[in-house]
Amino acid sequence: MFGGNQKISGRQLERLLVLDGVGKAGLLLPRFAGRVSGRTFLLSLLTAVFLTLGYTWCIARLSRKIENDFYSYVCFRLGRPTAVFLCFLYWMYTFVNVLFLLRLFAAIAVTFVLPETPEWILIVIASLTGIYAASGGLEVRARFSEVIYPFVVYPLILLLILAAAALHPEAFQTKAEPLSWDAACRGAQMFTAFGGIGLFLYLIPFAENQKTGERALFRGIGKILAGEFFLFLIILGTFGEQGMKALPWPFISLMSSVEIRGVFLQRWDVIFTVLLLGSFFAALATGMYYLGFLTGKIFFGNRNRKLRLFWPAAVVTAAACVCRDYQTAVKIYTLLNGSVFLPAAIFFTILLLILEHVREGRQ
Amino acid sequence: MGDISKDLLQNQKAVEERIENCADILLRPLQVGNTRKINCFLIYIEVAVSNLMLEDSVIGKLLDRLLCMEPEQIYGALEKNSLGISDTKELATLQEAMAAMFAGNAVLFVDGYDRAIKIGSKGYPGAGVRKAESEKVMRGSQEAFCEAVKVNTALVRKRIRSTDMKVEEQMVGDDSKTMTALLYLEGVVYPPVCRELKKRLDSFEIDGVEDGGVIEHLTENGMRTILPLYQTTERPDRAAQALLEGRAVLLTDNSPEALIFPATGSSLFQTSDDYYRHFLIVSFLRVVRYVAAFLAVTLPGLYVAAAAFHTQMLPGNLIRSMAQARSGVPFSAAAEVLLMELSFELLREAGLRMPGPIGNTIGIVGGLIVGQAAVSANLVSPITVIVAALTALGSFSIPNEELSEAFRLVKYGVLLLCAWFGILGALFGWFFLLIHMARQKSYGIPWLFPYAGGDLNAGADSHDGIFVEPAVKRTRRPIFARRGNRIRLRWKR
Repeated sequence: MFGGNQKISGRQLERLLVLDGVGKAGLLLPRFAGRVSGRTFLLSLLTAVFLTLGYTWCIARLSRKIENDFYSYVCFRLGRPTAVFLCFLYWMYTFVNVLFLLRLFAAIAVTFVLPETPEWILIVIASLTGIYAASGGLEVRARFSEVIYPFVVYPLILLLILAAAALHPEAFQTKAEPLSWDAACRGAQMFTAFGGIGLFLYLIPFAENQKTGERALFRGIGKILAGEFFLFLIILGTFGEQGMKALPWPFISLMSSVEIRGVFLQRWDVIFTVLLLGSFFAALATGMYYLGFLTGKIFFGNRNRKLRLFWPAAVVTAAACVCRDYQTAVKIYTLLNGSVFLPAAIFFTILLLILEHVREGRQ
Repeated sequence: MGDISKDLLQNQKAVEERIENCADILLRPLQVGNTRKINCFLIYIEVAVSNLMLEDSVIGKLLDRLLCMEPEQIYGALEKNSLGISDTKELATLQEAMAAMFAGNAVLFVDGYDRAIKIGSKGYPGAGVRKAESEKVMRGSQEAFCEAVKVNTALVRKRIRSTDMKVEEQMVGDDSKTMTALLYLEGVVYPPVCRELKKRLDSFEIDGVEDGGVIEHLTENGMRTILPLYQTTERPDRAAQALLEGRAVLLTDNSPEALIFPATGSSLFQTSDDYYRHFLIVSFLRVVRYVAAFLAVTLPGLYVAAAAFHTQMLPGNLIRSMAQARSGVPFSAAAEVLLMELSFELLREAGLRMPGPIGNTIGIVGGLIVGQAAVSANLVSPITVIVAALTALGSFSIPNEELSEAFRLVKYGVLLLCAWFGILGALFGWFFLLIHMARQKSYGIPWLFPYAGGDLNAGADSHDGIFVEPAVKRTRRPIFARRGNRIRLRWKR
């Protein structure tokens, strides 16, 4: 790590993963509440949790087979065209993800913090921060995430604890509905919010060692999933299922409802919202980094380090500014990532696992 | 400049050519030997080697002995140093002789002898060992470095009485020929760190080096960051602590400050007496320092954000009193704060440049009279004066002066961002700053260590970050030290 060898520790990897997912999932998932009951929503969430854990297990198993880097591994197993195609698939996934994050950031900032500021200015500033972090390389991103983690995550945990202390048990009395296929389908849609862990396969060569990387992966994903589950349990307990469906941003509304006695500030929602937005910077840095990394694999090789980062960053920033509004960004995200790119990436992951299994069987 | 000749007149002519119009450099002809006299001459800098010292010193005693010797014995005695005079050295070239003279020594040329003799003397005048002024501590030594590199080396040697402490000297500056001394503990420091410094020192040629600050900025990537990548100290005990931690220290002649490297942001918040006091008190004080640093960077911006964008955060009473205080002030909150901050900068600079008693008075005049007058004239509100004062106090509480200055500059960037983006501007500002910090390294060690990478070295470094562990548990050296030599404290029972 200190030799400029592009290696990161387990702790850094875990914190990168948590910061990638904590803000996005917390704000995106309530969209899937729809017209179902709170019980069905939680069941859908549990389905998403199991799907995510299953996908994580597949990634961890596959990562054990990678000796140098994932791109070389896919070239070896499935040929260079497939490796390039897979890079392109992840590139498109990351592009849509960053576009969605920029739009989400701007929407939250304009709604709750700066109502009079044009969204495009906030998108550009957030993008510049992500580019600045990504341009320093993986070690810079990892250090940055490691340092901001306590300032972003611990206050959110404090928020959950304070909100849990003010739960209304009667809010948990939901309509008992029979389990349905609809819950599973919603769960699969929710899984989209956590699907970015497939990119871990490109990250594994940079972990201290394979075992540390794997443990960090499971710890990070576990923390996100546990955090999200408790978050929505508390949201349900605070607002009830009708409240959760009616509120556009129940996570933010939860922040407004929290009281911290004995401190002179009247309201804490602005502070917590800004800290939540802080997690977006880490996620944007990750997204920009992968855009640059995958662009290099597809187009530039190891040349032109700055160019391979800046041009996709400029394109995605422009796309986010041009994208009509947040609702459009969500539709693009759920449609493209949820229905096309993520399933394709999962397909290739499972295919590679099967090939490895067959190869081991033959040996 | 070539080799020293046996012909004294040739040597004398060469020296006189070089010291022409140098009234402070004296050439004193002498004769030694009891029966047949041998001509010689002494060159020295007038104040560095006083006339008095010539008679009653190493030089005087050497000359007395030579005066009584037979001429045939003189050359042999000089060659073998059989006079037993310490602190003498033979010099083969005129360049070496001139360099030795400029270092504050006397140099003796003898007719018929093809070497010059450097004779140590008291050296240049300088301020002696002083009391620490800019790094005051509640407990511990009060000594500070002076401006002579030899004395400073001795002050550190006094604290580390081991031959493992190595001192490597190197001259820097074609005209100034400034002596530098690299100190490190062999077996504890990572050798590549010292090699890297020497490589950086050899990477440039410069006419003169008047202070360690010149070396500091020539050997770090100063263009890329305003954050200090060396830790400077005026305290010998701090330098000795750094050596024991596995870091290296560079002393520069004519400079009362040492450069410690590698340096991390965390080390810049530590003071030498942190290790002399109870760990709970030190932990509390470190929290105070970090909060002070946060206030120094962010308080003006946060005030602008709260006053102009997010008044709903504040209690109703406070909003009303702020509104009352600001009524009649013709400027926006951001302009008010900027005006106050720039006024404080003027006061600070004026106070520094003014001689002693007047400098102290400036602080009182500025704080009480100018501040009060500005409030009475409705140019600024009282709250703004308090914000500016707290910011200044926060900045003064940062132990390292270079870091404090860097944060003073960053504060204006955060203020501007808050003026445009409210509290989100503070977030942008801090995240840009943190990313910038994450990009910096000092001799391979990340600047953010141990907050980034603190789980290495068995987590020992994260126990000396903000919170300090008890002295009985401080058994490991930090990550700067060589891997096989990280245990510094062992209990016998």
